[in-house]
Parts: sequence; C-alpha cells; structure tokens
Amino acid sequence: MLSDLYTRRALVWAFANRDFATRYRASVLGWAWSLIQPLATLIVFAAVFTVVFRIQAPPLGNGNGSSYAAFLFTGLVTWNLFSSLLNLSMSQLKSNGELLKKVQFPAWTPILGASIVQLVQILLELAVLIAMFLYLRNVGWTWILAIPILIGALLFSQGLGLMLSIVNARYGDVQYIVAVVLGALYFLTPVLYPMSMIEGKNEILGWIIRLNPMSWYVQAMHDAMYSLVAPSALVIGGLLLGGFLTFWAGFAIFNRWSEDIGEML
Amino acid sequence: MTQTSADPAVDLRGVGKRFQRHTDRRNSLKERIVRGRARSSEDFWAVRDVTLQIPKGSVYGLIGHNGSGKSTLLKMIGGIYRPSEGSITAQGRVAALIELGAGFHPDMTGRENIALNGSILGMPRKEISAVTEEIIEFSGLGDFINDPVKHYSSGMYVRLGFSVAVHMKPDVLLVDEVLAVGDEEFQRKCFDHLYALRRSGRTIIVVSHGLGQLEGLCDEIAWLERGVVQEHGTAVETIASYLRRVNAEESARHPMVAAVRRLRHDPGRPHRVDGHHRQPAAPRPLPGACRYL
Repeated sequence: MLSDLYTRRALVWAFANRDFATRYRASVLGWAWSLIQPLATLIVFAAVFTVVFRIQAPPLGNGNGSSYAAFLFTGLVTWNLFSSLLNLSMSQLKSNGELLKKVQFPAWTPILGASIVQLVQILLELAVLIAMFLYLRNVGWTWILAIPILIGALLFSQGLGLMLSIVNARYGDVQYIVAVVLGALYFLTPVLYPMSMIEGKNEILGWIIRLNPMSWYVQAMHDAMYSLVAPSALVIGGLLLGGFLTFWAGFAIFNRWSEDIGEML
Repeated sequence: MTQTSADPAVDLRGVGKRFQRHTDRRNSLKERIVRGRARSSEDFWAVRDVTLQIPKGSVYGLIGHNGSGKSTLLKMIGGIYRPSEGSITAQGRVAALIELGAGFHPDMTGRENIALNGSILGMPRKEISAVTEEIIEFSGLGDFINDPVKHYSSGMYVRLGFSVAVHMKPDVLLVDEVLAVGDEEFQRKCFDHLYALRRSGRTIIVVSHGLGQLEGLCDEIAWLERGVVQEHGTAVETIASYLRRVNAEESARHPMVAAVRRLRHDPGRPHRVDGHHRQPAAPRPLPGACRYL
C-alpha cells in the first residue's frame, strides 16, 4: 500500500497542482476567500452563541478568563478538516469521471491530490488560530501535541473519505446520507459547546457524543491548544492509531471496489 | 491468413466482456434493498471469445458496425475495463489516445495541461519536461500554448492531445476514432508520426470507421460483429469482405438505393451470381477519403 502511494506520488502531485492552480483562478480575491469563509462563520457563531445562547467557554490555559471565539475556532478548524476532506473526496470521482472512463490510472490519485490542496486551506486556518492565541497570550508547550492529533484527524478523515467516495460511486444515495449525518454529527461534536455543559447533566447524550470519533479529536485539540493541558498519552496514541487504521482500511476498501471504476461512473 | 507472431505485443485469449443491461441501473440503495441481490437484469456480451495476436511493430485495425464491441475491446486492452473472461497480456506501456483532451482542464494553459496529461498517461515527470518543447513544436500551437485551453478550437485540442500521447512513446498506442479530426496537414503529420512509431518497433491499434484511412494505415485488421471476430487478416482482404457484407445487407434492405449506388460506383460491372444469392460485385479498393458512398 505504501509503495503504491510512493510510486504514484507524481500523479497525485500533478492533480494537486491542477486543483491548486485552478481553485480560485476566476475569483478576484483568490485565496483570501479560503480565510474569509471560516472567519465569517466564526463571527456569526460567536455572536449568536455568546449573545443569544450565552454559552460560557471554559477558562483559557493561561488563566486570563475565557474566550468563546477562540474555543469555537479551535473546534471549527478541526471539524472543517474532517468535513471538507470527506466532501471533497466524495466529489472527486464524479468530477474526474470522464477521465477515469478513458484513461487507466488509480482512482485515488485525484482524491489525494484534492486533499493536498485542502491541506493548504487547513494550514491557513491553523495560522489564524495560532495568531488568535498569540493575541490572547495563550501559549504553551502542549501545542506540539496538536501535530499528532491533527495527523490522526487527517488520516481518519481521508480514510473515511476514500471509503465513502467509492461506496458513493456505486450507490449515489450515499452523498445525501452523508450530508444528513454530517449535519447531525456537527451538533454531536463539542464544537459549539464545551463537554462540561453535557457531562453530569445528560448521561445518554454524553455517551452518544463520546461514541463519535470526531469528538475525541476536537476535545484533544481543545485540551492542547485552548486549555493548554496535555491529553493523556493513551488518548493521543489512540487518535493516531485510529487515524492510521481508518486510512489503511479506507485505502484497502477503495482499491478493492475501484477495480471496475470505469464502468461504475 | 492468421498471422501468429512468436512474440505478440498484445495477446488476447478468449476475451469476453459481459455487461448487465439495466432499464435503470441499480445503484440506489432503495433498489438494492427492495429487490435484493436477485439478478433481474439480463446479461449482455459486448465482446465474446476474442482470440487475437497483435504482432509487435504492426498497425492493427478494428472495424465493425456501431456497437460491435470495438471500443469495449480497446478499453479492455487499455485496462479500463476488466475482461469478464479470458486474458489479455500486453507488453510494455500501453497508452490510450481515446477521445483526446479528456485529461485537459479548461482553465489551465496548454503548457500546464501537457504536464498534467503526461502524468495521467503515466509519463515520469523528467521525461515530460524533456519532451515538452517537442510536443509544443509538433502541435503547431505556437504562442497559444500559454493560453487556457478553454479558448482553443476543437482542432487545437486534438492536436495538443495527439502530440502528448504520441510523445510519451508508448509500446502500444490505442487510437479510437480520432484521426478524422484536425486539418489535412496535421492529419498527414499524424500519419507520418504513426509510421515513425511503427518503424521504431511500437504497436498501434486503431478503431475507425474510415475504411479508406485504415486500408492505407493498417497491416492487419480484425472485423468484429456483435462482439465476435468475424474475420481477421490482411487489411485489404478484411475490408473487402466487410464491405461485401455491408453492401449485401444494404441491397437486401433497400434494393433500389443499392442499385443506384452500384451504378454510381462502377456502372460497367455486371452482377455476379454466387450460388442462389445475388450479391453485388466486390468493390474496388476505396479512394482515400471515401467511405461507403
């Protein structure tokens, strides 16, 4: 599997180049859009949830009060990583369908190419998040732990994306189901609210949220970036291992199912 | 007539491709759940029992009516479809020149598309940059190479696609009905290049309805009918028997039209009577650009 990824890296890179070059080619503001979008979401959500719902964010790691906007953005960045890779992966087979029907090449190459470009967007959002925490003077060594957490999240999302994209190529309903499930899952992940609002108050809901793998990635990011608390080694190891296993399974299922991709599309 | 090469470039043995005919494809979960796995659809063999040895360094043509399985066979050789039965062994790098420009992105320039198209066709990056100038030169696009391809004419598209495909120096080149595009001059250039490729020991497999073109280009031709090889052998002979069949079918359907057509082609030649069937005379080799009429 790894050797496959390695030998086809040039093609993955060629697709990444194509998507990178064309992503915002027709727009005036170009890459600025990739920041305007999440920032607009942040402003709207932060306004609604602090003013209307009066959600109280947990205290910052530096002990200087709390910031709901920073708390929310930490979760948003992690969630966006997940949902954008999922959606992007699912759309790639359709948008490269003409090509896949005519030339023989591994169908996962355009998917990984698109994800590489999305990675740039994710890094931009992370840079904004870091700038935000620097402004709040909320800095700690636990930030380093964000790297394994995010790598785990990337692998997990990509693995799931590969799996869903190939199932979706066969059964066109999957993308609609995924849209519905993602919509629900968003609220079952502690992005908009801290876990402390649920724990001890609604045990059943708490369990449902804990069953959602994305909750673990988001919470670990909250710990490392916002609260400046190190998640336990067990959690970090689990998140990494879960990511690797999901990616491995997704890649294997994708390869098994995509042998007849030329006929499925 | 069967020319068996000791070491064929492409070796097809008992190759068949089965498709399922669906009134609507069962790719929705509802269908799947409601009807389960039961096969209500009937199977349909697009290609059946094809055994051909395509000699190395030859130009091999595939002819037949629409839907006779030519393109399906080509797609199997190119690895896009897996054969349902039989085996295909191809030696070396197989590149498809099927519907050119499929790999082009409209918003990217011709030059950027060369790099993309080359990687999709499996060319290493170093090799691509080594031949990029040659590709541009061959395509004759000049300065347009730095324009987005969405502004190209269809002819320019084809020229660029063809240039990329032939410069990746495939061992087996698959060409599906694309030679008819592009202007006369470029077409001639393409043919010259195809001959050059053949001279360097590469194999070319062409699907086309342009019988005149094929006759001049191909060493051997296989004629497919409903997915089955009807006849294969030298280009001239196979085309002749194919035309005989086409003409016979046509005269059976439209006796008057066929009669007129025959008169226009060779007014002086008498009909030959074979057994108890009246068949039209074997046609002369067609002139260059002419098809049936």
